[in-house]
Amino acid sequence: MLRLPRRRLFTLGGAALVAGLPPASLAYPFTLGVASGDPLPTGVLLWTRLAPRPLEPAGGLPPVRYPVSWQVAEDSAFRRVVRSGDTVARPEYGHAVHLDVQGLRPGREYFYRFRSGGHLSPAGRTRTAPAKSASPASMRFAIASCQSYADGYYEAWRHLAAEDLDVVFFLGDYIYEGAITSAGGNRMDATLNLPDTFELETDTLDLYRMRYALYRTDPDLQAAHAAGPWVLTWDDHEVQDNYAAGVPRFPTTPDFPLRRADAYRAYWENQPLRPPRQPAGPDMSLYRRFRFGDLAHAYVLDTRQYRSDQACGDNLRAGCADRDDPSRTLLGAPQRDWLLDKLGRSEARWNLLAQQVMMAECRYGGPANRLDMDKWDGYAADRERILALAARMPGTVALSGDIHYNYAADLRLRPDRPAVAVELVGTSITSGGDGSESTPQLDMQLKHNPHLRLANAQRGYVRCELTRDRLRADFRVMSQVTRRGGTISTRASFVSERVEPGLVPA
Amino acid sequence: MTGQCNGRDLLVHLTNTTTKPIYADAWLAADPALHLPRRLISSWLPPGYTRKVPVAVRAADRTKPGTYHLRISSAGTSVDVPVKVSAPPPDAGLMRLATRVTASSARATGPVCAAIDGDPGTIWNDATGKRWPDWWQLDWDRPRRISRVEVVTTAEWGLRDWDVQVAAPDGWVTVRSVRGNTAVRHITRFAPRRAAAVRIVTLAGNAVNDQSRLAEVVIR
Repeated sequence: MLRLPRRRLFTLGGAALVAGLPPASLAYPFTLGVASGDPLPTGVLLWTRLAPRPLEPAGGLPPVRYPVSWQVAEDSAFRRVVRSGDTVARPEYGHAVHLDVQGLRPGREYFYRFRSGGHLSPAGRTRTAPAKSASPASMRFAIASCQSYADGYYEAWRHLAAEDLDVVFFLGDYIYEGAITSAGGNRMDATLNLPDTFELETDTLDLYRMRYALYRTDPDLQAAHAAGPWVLTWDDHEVQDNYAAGVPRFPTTPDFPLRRADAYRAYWENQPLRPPRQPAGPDMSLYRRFRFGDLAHAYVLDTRQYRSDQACGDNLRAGCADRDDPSRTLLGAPQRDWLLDKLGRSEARWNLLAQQVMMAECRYGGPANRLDMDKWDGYAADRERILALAARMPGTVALSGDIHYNYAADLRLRPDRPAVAVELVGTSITSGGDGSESTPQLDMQLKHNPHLRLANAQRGYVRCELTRDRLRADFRVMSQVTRRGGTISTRASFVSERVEPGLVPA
Repeated sequence: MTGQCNGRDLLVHLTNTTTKPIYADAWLAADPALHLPRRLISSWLPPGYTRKVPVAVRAADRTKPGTYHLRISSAGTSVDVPVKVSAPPPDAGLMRLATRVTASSARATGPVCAAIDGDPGTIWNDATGKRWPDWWQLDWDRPRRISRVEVVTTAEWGLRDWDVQVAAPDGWVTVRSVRGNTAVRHITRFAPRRAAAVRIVTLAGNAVNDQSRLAEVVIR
């Protein structure tokens, strides 16, 4: 059977956190852990979801409301509780709880926990953003993406949880929509004994909810969420591989707008996102900005929901003139104009573009010299406008995921021009299995793309430190993920100066 | 019809009869003799919209023939669906008589039963790209006399190398090894023997980064 976190009983003396509400009979419901996200100077979003039997439909709960109480404290022992209250977990939201806690102090560490039915959740640590007027000397963050459950174990998350980070940017592919065998695919753990419901491709709300529940039972992923605030965006697999706006990957996919609505709803329910982000049918506004004093502004982008369909039939193409069509867009005009406006007026030392797909040109080499139509290479006009602005904005950094490879890249308007920005493409947490130091394809890409400083196919995440004038990036890679016991090491480190962008080995 | 791969899909229609979008739930419950892969369907529905969701209904081998019941409940109403279960006829092919079909892994779009559904347009597709070997296996309730295994793979990225194995008292015995195949259809013949299971161990495909693809298997 699935290993679940040890049952925790509420033992605080005398603290009747849900006074006035009748106790509901409930087996231990915090099997999916806790999370925090979208940190602001005075607030943070806290999340949990009740699911006593997480691999069953509706988490094993009947369609009734459950009272949930919560606390936020300045210390991990919860002696200095600064905020607390009661809320309700509703069946129409899959018994998820989203708490928008306000009135906190900027740039401070806090601890939080929930209680329901006499059970106490694990405690999470979080951190508010620095004050808008603050001038922080430094900031530590990581980027991560692509965590196919069936491709391996999440020990990279366990290592990330031990890093001292201000925030984690998750750049998409939190779940995958395909079948998972009873042994968890490449995990090959017969004791998992997953129900055959997981062999169905996710296409309705109940199945997307169950998929998030399965992923969130993983103790390493729970540890990473409990270690600090996350800022998330999505990519394609939260709905369907390589979908583009309203266009499914496979023309035969029935009811795609309904599938997107169900997928977006489950995404919102299962992530630490504020209630205004809640979808309306198949639409959900996810692009937003976060400020870390005057040190950095982070623009979280959505390159899936509004994009033009991939040019020339998607995939790797050579000689596809359509990709240059100025009417085609990756971001959609409203998001692109929002980004250009905000970025153009930014007074931050650094501007981070937290998004999904690789922005740097990436020629696949060989006689055909193909480009990937699903990436920014398939949307050249949008890229050119952003890089033209970046040329006037020192400290622009693109943060990307999607392709299960580590790349360090200089971003140039033209191959023969100096870099105007830099890009860090983070590999996957597990997607693609153990991976390798390199591949023939990556070797060819390095040869044909001199602006690429690194190409690597191992698993892991990218740890970054920003100071007032310098970015440092450490590419952290796992020795293995398909078996437990993987170790982590730093495969490569780069720095880039704010006023003279260009990644150089640290 | 009883047997893991002899079930049929029940098409559940969910209709929003109101004038506002809703999130609808339909709960499914069945007699224990029937197996359903899911017990809940939830979906966003625009006003007036009907969403049709297929649910595979199966009855295990040796289930007593008869009429069983499945109940679908939503928004305070419920529907009873009678399900007639019959045994495969005695003269059914060895594919129909299979009691269990398994594989080392399978994609959602390539389930194990797709290899014996008589439709070469559907395939069993393993879930571990580039990792070999994989296997696909068919079991009967008792040993059957067999002498021929026909493999239909795909025209593109089809199977190249595989072993045909049969169950023996002390383990699997390879009766034929196929190497370098580029054909869509390949027939393996061997001296007649009795076996309660056949396994196809796939070793390579005809493409880089490839997977196991079985469109049909016919055993005689």
